[in-house]
Amino acid sequence: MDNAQLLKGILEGCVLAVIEKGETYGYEILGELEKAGLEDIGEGTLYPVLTRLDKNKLIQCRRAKSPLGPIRKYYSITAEGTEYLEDFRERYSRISKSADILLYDNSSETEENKNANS
Amino acid sequence: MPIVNSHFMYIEKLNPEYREVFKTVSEYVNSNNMDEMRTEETLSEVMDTFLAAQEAGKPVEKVVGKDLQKFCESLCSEKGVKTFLLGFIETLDFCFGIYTVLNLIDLISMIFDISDGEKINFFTYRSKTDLLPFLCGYIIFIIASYTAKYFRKKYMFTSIIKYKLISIFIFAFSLVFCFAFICFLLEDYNSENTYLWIGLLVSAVYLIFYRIITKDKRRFMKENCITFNEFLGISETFKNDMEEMEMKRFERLNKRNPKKGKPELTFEQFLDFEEKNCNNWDKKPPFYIALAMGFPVIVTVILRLMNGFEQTSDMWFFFFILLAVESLLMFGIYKAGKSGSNARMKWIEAKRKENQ
Repeated sequence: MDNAQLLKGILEGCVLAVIEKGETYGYEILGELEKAGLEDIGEGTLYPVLTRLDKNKLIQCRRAKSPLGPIRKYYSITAEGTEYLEDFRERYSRISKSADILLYDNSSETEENKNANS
Repeated sequence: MPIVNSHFMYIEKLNPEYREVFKTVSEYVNSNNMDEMRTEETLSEVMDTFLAAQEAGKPVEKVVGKDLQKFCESLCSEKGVKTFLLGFIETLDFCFGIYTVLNLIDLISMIFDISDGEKINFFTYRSKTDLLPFLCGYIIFIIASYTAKYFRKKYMFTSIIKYKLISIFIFAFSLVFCFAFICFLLEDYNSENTYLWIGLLVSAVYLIFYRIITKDKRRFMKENCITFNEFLGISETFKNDMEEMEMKRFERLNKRNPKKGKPELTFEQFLDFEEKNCNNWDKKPPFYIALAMGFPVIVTVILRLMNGFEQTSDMWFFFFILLAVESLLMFGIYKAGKSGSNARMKWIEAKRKENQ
């Protein structure tokens, strides 16, 4: 299984988190994902995600001429998108903790973290 | 004259490696029967990313990954039914455009018959084009072209030979169809054709429907326009052609001048000479207006003298139609010439800056 398959469920949230920082465009999002270590994500994977987010009204876009010339879509997050992202963060946090327990059997460590937080 | 800022204008800015991949992506996206706006948006997004990645010095594989087919498939994976239906309606647009023009010609011909004193009932007057065979013929063409595109898409990455064969088939089929279409139109159906009023009504309903559903496309085109001069600035081919044309002109002038006893021009003098020519263009509109008016007058007078018109109303009708066509033509020529002279002025300015 390649990374793209594994990322399928969480990529939307990651892209939304990048857009939350401020208005951005496709290539810049790819750069941010790359900086975070998600180097396998190409335009072909990102574009359908952006289309889906736009269709679900989680992001909005405006078109303008890019400094390089072609039409560029600039994306920004909507109120619905911010809400979705908050919810996504909560759910992801819960799932990743459970996955950590199952994958690395570090339940004791997680318990320690819980106690530290409380 | 505004032009849509389309992705294909930038293809020359890509290096050969990126350009080759972009052409394949473009062909794949175009084979997906998406509507024009969605196709343009997708390819513009790819073009922008390719240009940015190229500027950053990244190899093309870094952007598209190792599997180009997978990249193309992902790019079109979220297309949905709406974009497919819009694409289909846009393809029908050509058919209805021709049908509307043919019906309008029939309408003019009916008006002529009425003006000649014939008693005609508008509701029983039949068009020369039959709607059903016309529409069916075109839909068969669309189905065949969609099937060919499907196979072309399927074999694009797996079998170059099959892919090329299908491309040739599409081309040959389009040619045969166009020929059959023209023959069909030239055939004179007199008996049971569609009533003209039904044809006009169908055209009107389709055109209204088309305008409503392509509202987003029109807004997209309006928002993303560039001027003709900007277009000339983008096009590398145009820049090279302009350079070549002007340098040949410079050489030609300097060959001709000594023969006429004039001194050879320096490059600076040539630029001044060209600037003068460009500015002269601005003074020419009255000449074109006079030409546009003069030609129909002369032709009408000649035909009148040769007794070419049965009635005076025919003469006026002929004159105004000719005047309208001629004016449109002259306006087009003037605008094209003006854009050309603007582009030349830009070249002159660029050369002057280079020389300084």
